[in-house]
Amino acid sequence: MDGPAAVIGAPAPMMPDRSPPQEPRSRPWIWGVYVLLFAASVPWYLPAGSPPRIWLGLPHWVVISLAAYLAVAVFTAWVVARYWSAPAGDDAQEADDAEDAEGADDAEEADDAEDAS
Amino acid sequence: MSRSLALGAGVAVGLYLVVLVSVGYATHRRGAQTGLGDFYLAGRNLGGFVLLLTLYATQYSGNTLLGYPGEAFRIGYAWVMSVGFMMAIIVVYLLFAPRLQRLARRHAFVTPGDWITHRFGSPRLTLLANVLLVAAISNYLLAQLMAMGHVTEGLSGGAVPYWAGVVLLTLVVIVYETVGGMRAVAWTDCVQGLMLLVGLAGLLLAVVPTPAHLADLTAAVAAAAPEKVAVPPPEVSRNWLSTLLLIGFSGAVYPHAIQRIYAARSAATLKRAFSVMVFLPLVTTGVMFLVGILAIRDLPAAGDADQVMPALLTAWSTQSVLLYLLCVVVITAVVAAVMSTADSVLLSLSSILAKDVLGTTLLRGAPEEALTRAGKLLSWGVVGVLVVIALSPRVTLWGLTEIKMEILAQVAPLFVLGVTWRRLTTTAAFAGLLAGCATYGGLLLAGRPEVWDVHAGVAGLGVNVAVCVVATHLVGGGGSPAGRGRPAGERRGRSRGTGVAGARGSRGPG
Repeated sequence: MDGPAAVIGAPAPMMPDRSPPQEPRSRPWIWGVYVLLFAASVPWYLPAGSPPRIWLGLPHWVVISLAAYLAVAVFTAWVVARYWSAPAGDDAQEADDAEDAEGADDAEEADDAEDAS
Repeated sequence: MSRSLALGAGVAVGLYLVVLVSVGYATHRRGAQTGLGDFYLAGRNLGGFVLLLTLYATQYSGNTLLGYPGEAFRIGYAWVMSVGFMMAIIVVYLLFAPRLQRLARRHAFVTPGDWITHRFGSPRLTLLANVLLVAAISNYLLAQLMAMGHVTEGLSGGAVPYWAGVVLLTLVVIVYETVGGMRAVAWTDCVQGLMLLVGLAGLLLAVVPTPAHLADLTAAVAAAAPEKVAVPPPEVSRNWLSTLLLIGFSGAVYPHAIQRIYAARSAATLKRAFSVMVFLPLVTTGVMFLVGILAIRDLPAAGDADQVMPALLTAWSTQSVLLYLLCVVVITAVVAAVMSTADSVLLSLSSILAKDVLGTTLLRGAPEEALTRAGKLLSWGVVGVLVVIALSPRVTLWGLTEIKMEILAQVAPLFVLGVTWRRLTTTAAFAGLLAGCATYGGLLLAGRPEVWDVHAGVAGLGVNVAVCVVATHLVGGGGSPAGRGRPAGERRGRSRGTGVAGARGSRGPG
């Protein structure tokens, strides 16, 4: 007979992942970082027409731009790995349905109002 | 183009075409593809490697290899923006692709219109979006067919006439596409993507971008054309920002790219593909940017920006055997880039016409096998018409390729806002689409393709989004996928798993 000790010592049963799917779209700060990086990539903040300094053989504003784009790429790879998770099958479906349902009541009310008019 | 380079390139391209047809035939032998999901989405089973290369080969067309060096030659170092706008596409994907991929599997979406119907439940909105998508990608396909003719004629030194290039390369594309569908397109895209990467690696070696070489190059360009090195003026910066927005949003909703999201085997596959894809502009458009800068120094007399790449290849091919072989690879990569874009666009066009047009009208309720057969026939019909147009010497539609991005941008809110904002209503989305198109069209008709250096298409997109937001709040109510996007009976019953597309759509994942 399994006593409490046996239960504690037993490997945890495989529980399905009930967490909702994580997606980058639900993290506003991620999009703030993207805005900053893309804004930094365009040299609007440097005095126009000024002769450039040479960094790594390129005009400094080009190096800044390329550095911003490299940062976009690295940041994106990190965001994809860290903030994009999709539980399989029913769990993902339940999460999607729950999200959909939040707006569904409003939609039905609007439809009903349309039908009535 | 020298005669010896034309000969070498001709042999390489000939071998390449044989490989393409063989790959197409091999995919056909793996089994008949009669269902829509099978034929148009490779059974929704594209693995990481194939998905990455087909996305890559599709996203970078012949224009990347021929047009982008010319742009860098024309405007100078500011063309580094091309690296950014190709990355912006992947960033925009992060807004909607994760959820769209899940929903596409669950509801068996085949076409972009399937999502729009599922989300908004409005046949007129789906129809309008499809009209815009078909107009944009038909134009894009026509440009690729014309590119086939120009590339073969230009790179063969006139030995292969324009019409023969159009007909031969189009024939190869339509044959492997008809026999193998998306599987053939994806696998040939792999070959094409690898050719592209090898060619670009070779170009990178030819450019030799060490800091010392780059410093010499920059000094020479600064002496010849200082305005191409100096910090760009505000109007260029505004246009740069506008281009990031335009390409980011419109490139993300290319119908053939959307269908590759549908075709991914799993979310993990799509994640891996995007994680690598986001770095590829650095070694693709970044290399072409350097090639164009090199041309400012080495080809000061080149007048036509479009001739920059052929002129550079001709010059390099006479310098050493290694560079000669490299030029042959690059020429084959150019042909590969044109064909890989053409095949993907054609397949997407065929699917929209078969499923969203015929499947809802003349062939309503027909089995999937019939729709697939009709789609294959439509591919031949569409290609036939476009080849005739491409061969007409009076038609020069190169300029129209620019407007396709601005048309596509108007459809972007249906995907980006449709996925991310559940309260967006159908009425608001339709009004926004109309307002965006009217703004863009009105500005074009008024002779204002840019307003304060911002593309008319981006201005239209801004109006489109503003109308979506205002109309949603004014009209009230919500518009979630579970709400307006489903038929009334299902909506009230809260049934799971069968949207409009699922109900009449194709077989699910194999």
